[in-house]
Amino acid sequence: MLAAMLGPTDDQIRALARREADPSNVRAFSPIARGPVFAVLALLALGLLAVPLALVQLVAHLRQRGARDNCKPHAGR
Amino acid sequence: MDDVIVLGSGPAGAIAAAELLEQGRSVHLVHLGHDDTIYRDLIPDAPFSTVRRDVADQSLWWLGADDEGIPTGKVRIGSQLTPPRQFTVRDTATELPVHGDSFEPMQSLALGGLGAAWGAAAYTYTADELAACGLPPQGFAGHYAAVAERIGVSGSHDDDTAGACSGQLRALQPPLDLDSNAQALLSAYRARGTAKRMRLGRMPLAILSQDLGDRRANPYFDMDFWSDVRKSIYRPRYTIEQLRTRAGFVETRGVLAVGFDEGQDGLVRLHGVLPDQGHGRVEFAARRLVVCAGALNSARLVLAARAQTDLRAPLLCNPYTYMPCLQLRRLGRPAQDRRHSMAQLTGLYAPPDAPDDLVSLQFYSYRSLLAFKLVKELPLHPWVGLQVVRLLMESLVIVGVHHSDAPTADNWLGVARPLGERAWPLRVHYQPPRQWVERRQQRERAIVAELWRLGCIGGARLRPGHASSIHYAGTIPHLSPGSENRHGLDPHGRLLGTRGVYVADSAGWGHLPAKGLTLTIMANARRIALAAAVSLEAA
Repeated sequence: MLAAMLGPTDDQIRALARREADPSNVRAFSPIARGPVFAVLALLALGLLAVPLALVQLVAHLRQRGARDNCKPHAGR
Repeated sequence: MDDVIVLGSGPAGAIAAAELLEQGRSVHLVHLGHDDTIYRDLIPDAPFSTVRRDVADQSLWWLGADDEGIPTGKVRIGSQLTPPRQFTVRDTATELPVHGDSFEPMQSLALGGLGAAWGAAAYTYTADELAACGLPPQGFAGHYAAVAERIGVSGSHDDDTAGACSGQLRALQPPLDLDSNAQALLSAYRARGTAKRMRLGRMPLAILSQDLGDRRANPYFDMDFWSDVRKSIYRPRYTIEQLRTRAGFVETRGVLAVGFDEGQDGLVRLHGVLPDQGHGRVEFAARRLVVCAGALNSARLVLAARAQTDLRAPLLCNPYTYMPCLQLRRLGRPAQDRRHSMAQLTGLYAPPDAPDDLVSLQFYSYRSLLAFKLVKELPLHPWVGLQVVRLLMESLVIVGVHHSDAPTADNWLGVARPLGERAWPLRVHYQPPRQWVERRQQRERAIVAELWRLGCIGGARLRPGHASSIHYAGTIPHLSPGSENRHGLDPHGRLLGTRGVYVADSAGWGHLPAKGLTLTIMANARRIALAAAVSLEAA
């Protein structure tokens, strides 16, 4: 449950999929292969960045849930 | 009057129809036959990297005309199919209902059945495995060979896995080239020496490495999840397309079978409905009926024909787990562009407590299914997730693990009466005994340890749920002659209590080995088609 809350929302995945399917973005989605040392260092850096961005994701999930609730016919009346 | 109605156009139906025609019998193929009418002619015959770089309107097939290629929410079985493959499961939720929350099977009403999206694993069973299934080991190699010659199977006789995986096939096309990941993994395995509990080798695949008729060798474009443009991966529709040109072959599409009966006139009548025409009724008659509807739907049809709502038929399904792993020696290194998309290697793990009860492994690399589907599974902000995927994608190995299955009282299916002229809903319960689950988990932990020794590290074991292997069997088991139970088949695949109804898919098997079952389904369909042809001669 918590893992799902830290991952992308459905809206974010749709947006990401549309970006990836656009050929003008091929480079931004292609594999990064600059050697094992670069890969390890980059993964460490991304690990550090992931901690504050986890809070951003929690907020994004709560917002998506709120928006979904407000779409119910009876909500907000 | 036709000699034989073959019901279903999947791997079993295509082979059974072809064999009956070879035997000089007239064949009426009846099926629903959904097909891809959107994508097939749009996808260029070019490498994945070229398509990604150069083709303007590519999002249509990556994401689908209705965004059906973007799986969101809970991922169900079938939702990971690429848009060009999703016709395989069209309408099954409404036309083939399944009740029960413990088992969510993938079914098909497509031309080619589940074979339209088959991963092309072409394992043979050993003589012991065939015997455990209730299939006659004697002579079965001939059926394997005939099917392999028809569909084209590539593989190696030199690998450690060859004896158990393709030992019954005498003639194989040369093995397909391995991708960078698989080459490194196989080298690491071979460097370890020979005394191993886990064997590794190249996959026997129904993918052409050499041209065969109008089909072309695989071009290593890594577009195999999207396109069949060169027909290098076998699909049952290729056989059916050939049959359409032959005398004695008739085909009726658009029919959903709902029952059958045998009359005093010696004919079998198949009852169906036409879903696209308001479920209006239709009926066909022939001297024999060969049911190839898949293990679940063959049982559904047999139970419905006999209105047996109180019967619990056995159900077999390979338990499936997949393990994402990283191959450390490939980390940060570029991979060859040239590859095919299907499983590159196979593994066989022999558990110490039961060395013959093999666990099978299939090793995939990941690229052409697009990065966003991996990002979706990571508990990370999408930008961070994307960068992680880009860094790891070339060294990522997805290991699919299949376990064997055997009948147990807690795994069963039955039918309920439908409302109106429809297929009867299936009631399914699948809950393996706890000790079986624990034993499988123990084996998976041992496999993880073996993989670590090969430099392939991972710990996550993901279980998509019961039925996710898409390997189903055992629902109308072979029974000994004279059995009081009529819900079974005789050794020739004839349904007990009938004169002319045969079941030629995996429904009759009493055991399900861990290895992929499709090639054996086709070989068995040939065996039963021959039996049906012989019975016509005798009559």
